[in-house]
Amino acid sequence: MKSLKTLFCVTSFALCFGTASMANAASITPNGSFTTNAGTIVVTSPSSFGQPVTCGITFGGTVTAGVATITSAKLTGGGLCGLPTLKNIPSPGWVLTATSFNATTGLGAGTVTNVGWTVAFPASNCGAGSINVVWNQATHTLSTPSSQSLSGSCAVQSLSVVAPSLSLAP
Amino acid sequence: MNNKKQQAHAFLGLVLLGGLIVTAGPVQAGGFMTPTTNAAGWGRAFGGGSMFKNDPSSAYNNPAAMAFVDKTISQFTVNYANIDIKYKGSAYDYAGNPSSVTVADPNTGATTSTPRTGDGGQGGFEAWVPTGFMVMPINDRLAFGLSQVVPMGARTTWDQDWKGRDFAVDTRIETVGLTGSLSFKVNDEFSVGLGTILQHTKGFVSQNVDLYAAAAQSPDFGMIPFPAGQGSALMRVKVDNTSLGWFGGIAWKPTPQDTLGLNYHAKIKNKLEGKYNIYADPTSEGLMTIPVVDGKTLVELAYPGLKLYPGGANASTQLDVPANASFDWVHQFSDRLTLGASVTWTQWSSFKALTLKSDGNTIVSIPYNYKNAWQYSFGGDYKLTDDLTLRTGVSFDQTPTRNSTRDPRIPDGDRTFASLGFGYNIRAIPGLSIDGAYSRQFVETVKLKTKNVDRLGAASLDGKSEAKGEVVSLTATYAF
Repeated sequence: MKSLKTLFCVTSFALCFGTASMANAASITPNGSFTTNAGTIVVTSPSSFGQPVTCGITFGGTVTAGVATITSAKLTGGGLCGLPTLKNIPSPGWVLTATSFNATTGLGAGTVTNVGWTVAFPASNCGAGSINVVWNQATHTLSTPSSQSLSGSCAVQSLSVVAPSLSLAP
Repeated sequence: MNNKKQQAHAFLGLVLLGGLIVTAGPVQAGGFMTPTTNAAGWGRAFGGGSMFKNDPSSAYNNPAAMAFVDKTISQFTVNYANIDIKYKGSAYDYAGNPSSVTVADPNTGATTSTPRTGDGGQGGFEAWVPTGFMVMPINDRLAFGLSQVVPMGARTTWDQDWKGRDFAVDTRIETVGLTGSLSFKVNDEFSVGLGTILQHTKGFVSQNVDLYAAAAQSPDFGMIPFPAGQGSALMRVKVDNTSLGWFGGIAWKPTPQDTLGLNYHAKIKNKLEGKYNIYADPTSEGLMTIPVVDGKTLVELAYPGLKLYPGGANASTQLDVPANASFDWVHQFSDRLTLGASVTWTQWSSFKALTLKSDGNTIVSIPYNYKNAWQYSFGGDYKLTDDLTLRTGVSFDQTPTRNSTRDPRIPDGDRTFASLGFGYNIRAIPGLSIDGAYSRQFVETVKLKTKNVDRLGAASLDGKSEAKGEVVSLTATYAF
């Protein structure tokens, strides 16, 4: 059954991913605090007139019972990167939940909830909402599979951060 | 005699008073210099300068020639100038898109753009320019001169919402100079002269600043490609200054028929000070006034150190009057025919940039890098009767502007003056004469193909300026 599933995955990664998601839950390890290396996030919002803004980002938080709660997020970079006030940071935090993990490919998937931010001027009110993320065990990279829309005409076009201390377990 | 003196004093008073109370606009020549002559000079298209016999405009143009003025002469001139300037071409934002009106949806940030189609209308102007001269021989060797001249001026007025609004809307440079000069006759063939000018300059410029386009050029702001053409931020700068300069000349009569003159007008340092303000829509005003990070506005984040105050702040700019020198030659061929030629050099290379500062900080610096320019003039008088003199002349005036930096503020090209004029002695009032002239300016069509500085939004123009002009000059002269 497992080899059949692997074959299925090879022929259709997307379907495999979906199948795996349905088939396997996953958890984030180890419990305790974590921080990520500096990564990048590209967002759009009314403040940027829909134009992509690239900022540096570093997350920190804790892992409890297989779920990571991001309680700190630091944006770096000039211009608009200094403007957002992140919603739900530090409390209740952005909650990263792994929904699947394929130990063979080292790829996992999950969601981050409570994601949102505001900009006072030029005004934006983005989220809060949920975005989909993927995990690469080999590089310990958390990223978005595609542009993720949020309410308020906002989007996280891309996200990529490395969390060296985190792993996924099936 | 006393009655005549009273008339003269009254006339002189009117001359000087007239010069002071009439707003002095420009009569465009190369760059923002203006001819400082009378109707006779306009009629000859400046050929021979002020070296014609008994020309009181020598009080400013070449004080040495006052030594050969044999009686007190007072003169008042009014010039009417009508300059027509039009722009034909395109304007683009920093991204190369046609200049547009861009409106952003406040909820989504989505923008819609409509191209700007306005060519700016008629960018030229009409102006009345007064000029007055007086020369008074003190004794056989010394003569004293007074004048009120307009040595510098320029004006362009474009529609406020035209496609090139990021380059210029209004530009006005106006001056009034009061001069005093002395001449010394070394002998019957040679004289020297020296004078000083007290010059008041007023400047007014306005243009739109595309704040979002400017932010898009900022590395400190991440080079985010904000849509250009949003809102409006009309910056208006009003400055003035009073400055002092000097001029001098020599005159030489090598033969009874020839008069040669050489004059030099020194560069006048001219630091204009005043205020600027910015009429902006609420969003654009917010970019300049709302602190967003560490007490800094978005303008400061985009251009560190740059603070803009829409409500007004101090402004200063350096607009020196360039040095110039002329060589004039007048030859009397007969009792009836006299011709003159002139060559004028202007050190325009001293004008590098128009830099606006506020409290010592540079708000913007627009490069111009003018080049030195020459003017060649030829004209003369033909005395048709004892009372009526006819004049004509032609002059070629090289522009100091460069193709790379020429903009709608001063869209100057090489120009040719073609002039006709007359002089008439009014026998009913001995000593009184009138002169009139009509001068047509044929201005070279020049390219306006330039790119704005980043701080103004980095828009570009690709077009041409078509200009022409005419001047009507009327002079009343009273010889005592």
